[in-house]
Amino acid sequence: MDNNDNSRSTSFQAVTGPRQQDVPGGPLLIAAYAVLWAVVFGYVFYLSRLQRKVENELEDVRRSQKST
Amino acid sequence: MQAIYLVHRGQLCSFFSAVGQVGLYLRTMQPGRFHYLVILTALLWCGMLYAIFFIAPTELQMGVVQKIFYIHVPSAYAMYLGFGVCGLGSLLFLLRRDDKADALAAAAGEVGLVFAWVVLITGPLWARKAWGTYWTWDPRLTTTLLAALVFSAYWVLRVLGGYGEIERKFAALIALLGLVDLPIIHYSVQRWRGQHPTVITAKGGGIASGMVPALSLGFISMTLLFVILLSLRYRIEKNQIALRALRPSEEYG
Repeated sequence: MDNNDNSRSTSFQAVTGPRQQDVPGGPLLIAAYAVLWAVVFGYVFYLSRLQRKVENELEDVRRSQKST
Repeated sequence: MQAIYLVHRGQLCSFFSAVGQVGLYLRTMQPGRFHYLVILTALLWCGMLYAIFFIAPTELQMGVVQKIFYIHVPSAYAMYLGFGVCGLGSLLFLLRRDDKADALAAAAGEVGLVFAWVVLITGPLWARKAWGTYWTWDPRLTTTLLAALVFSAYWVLRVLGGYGEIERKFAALIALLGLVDLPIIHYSVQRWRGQHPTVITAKGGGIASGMVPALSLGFISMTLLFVILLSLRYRIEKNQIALRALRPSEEYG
């Protein structure tokens, strides 16, 4: 392995006391969690609409086959 | 935890074994069990959020933004699962012309893609603070984007291409192409120069002990969410198979 590996983060350490941040990460953190929830709920909503559409089509076909 | 073990050891065989277990579980899933699974997953998600925001300590260098880690990495794991199941299902379809394997592949590819875009959005938000930029052409970022694009192409073909034999074979080949990219993503941080952290690998220095519960719950919660979404999507695909059987002369996009 080359020496460039030394420049990477290889551990996460807990802070030992109060620490002021130079760049606020709060908005980025909130945005990330908001994206996760929006994507998950959006996808579940999409699935529910798709499920309803396919079940309705299935029901229509079965009904039309019974009537013939 | 099994999920952490898989990522930590990076053993591809264990990963595919886990993929197989998910498939077997879906075959035996009953509606009653499914509801219990949803409740269990919701409770675990509450536990995960509590662990992330009230138990896990703030990281020394990056501050609170490092808490994105607890959803970013498990989402990447769920992405691997989705794309892995999709690739294996596609392989089974090509070998045996099994409609159920094709349906499972289509469902898993779509769910994997959902998690892939979560990874590709949450990652840059974290990078903005950690690296000072939203995006850099780091090997892991680039190969992950490549996988997302390959499986996006797969998804577009499945949605717009209909259910003809040629279209399904072509989609399956695209999924196999995407499957090849998965180990490249995994080993990219070890083999090539880049900025992406190497915390959860055999060569990484690990995480503080206070961060372990949040990450463990993240892996379990995200895996269960993946199983729920996959089962919902797979049920729709099975209904579409039934629809095609009733109206064989038509194709449904």
